[in-house]
Amino acid sequence: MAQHPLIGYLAWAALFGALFAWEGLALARAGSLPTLSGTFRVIMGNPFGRWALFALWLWAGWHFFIRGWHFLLRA
Amino acid sequence: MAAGYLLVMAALAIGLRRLRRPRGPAPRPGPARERARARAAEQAGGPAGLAPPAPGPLRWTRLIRQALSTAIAGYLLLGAVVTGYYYAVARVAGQFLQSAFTGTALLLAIALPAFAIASGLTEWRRRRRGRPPGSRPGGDRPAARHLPHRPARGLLPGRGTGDEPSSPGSGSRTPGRSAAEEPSRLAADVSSHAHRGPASGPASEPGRRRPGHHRSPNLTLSQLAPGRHRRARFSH
Repeated sequence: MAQHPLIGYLAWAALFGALFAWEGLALARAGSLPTLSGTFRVIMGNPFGRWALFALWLWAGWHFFIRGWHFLLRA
Repeated sequence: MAAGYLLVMAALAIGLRRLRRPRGPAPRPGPARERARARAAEQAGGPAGLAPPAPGPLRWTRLIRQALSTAIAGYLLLGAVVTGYYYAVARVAGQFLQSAFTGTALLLAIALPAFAIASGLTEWRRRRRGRPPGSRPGGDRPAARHLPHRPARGLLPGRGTGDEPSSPGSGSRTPGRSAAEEPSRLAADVSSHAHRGPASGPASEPGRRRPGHHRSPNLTLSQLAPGRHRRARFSH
C-alpha cells in the first residue's frame, strides 16, 4: 500500500466527520437544517440529478468493489 | 474505504427509515415549502421526491421504466465523465477506461436484478398482508382487516343523522372508513331498503330521512356509486 502524508488522511477524516456532524445536527434540529436524505430527495426530484446520483453511486461502488478490491476483513 | 461506504449507506438507511416512520398529529416546524412538500407526499402515499404509485400494472411499468432509464443514463454519464477525466486530466494506468466500463456494468448486472427481486418480494409480502398498493408498512392507515366491524348506516339508532355525506355518488368518503368497507356498506344499504322498504326503520322517521337516500332496491352498486369502486381500490 502506498504511503501518503498523514495530513491527507486527516483531511478525509475531517470531511467525513463534518458530514456526519452536519447530519446529526440536522436530525436533532428537525426542520431548520436540511438532512442528507432531504438533500438527496431534492436532488432526486430532478431527472438529471437522479442520473448524476446514480452515476456517483456507480463510481463509489466501482472504486470500493472493483478497482483494487480485496476482502473486506483482510488484515 | 469500505467502512466509510458502509457508514454513508447506514446514514442513508436511517434517513429513509425516518421518512417512512408514521408521523403523529403534532405540527412539524420548518420552512413552509418543505412542510407543504411533505404534506403532499403524505397524501400521495409515499415520501416526498418519490413518484406517487400509479394503480395496477401501470405502477410496475413506470417503476421499470424509471429504474432502467436511471441506470442507463447514470451509466452513460459516468462513462462520459471518466472518459473526459482520462483524456483531459490524467492518463491513469492499469486499463482504467476498460475497468470503468466493465466494472460498472458488472455492478449494474448485480444491482438491477437484486433491486427487481427486492421490489417483487416487497410487493408480494404486501399483497399477502392485504395492504393496498402504495401503502406504507406500519403507516397511519390501518389495513382493512384490522378495522372493527361497523353495522350498515341507518340500521342503528343515532346513525345516519345527516352529518354524513348523503349522496353516495358524491365521491367523498367517511373519514376512518376503509376502501374495502365501502362496497359492503353500500350492499347492506341496498339490501336493508329492499327488505324493510323505504318507510321502516329509524332512518325513515319523519325528519330523519336524508334527501337522496331513498333508492330503488333494483339499483346496482355501480349505479349507486359510479366510479367509486375503481377509485376506492386505488385511492391512497
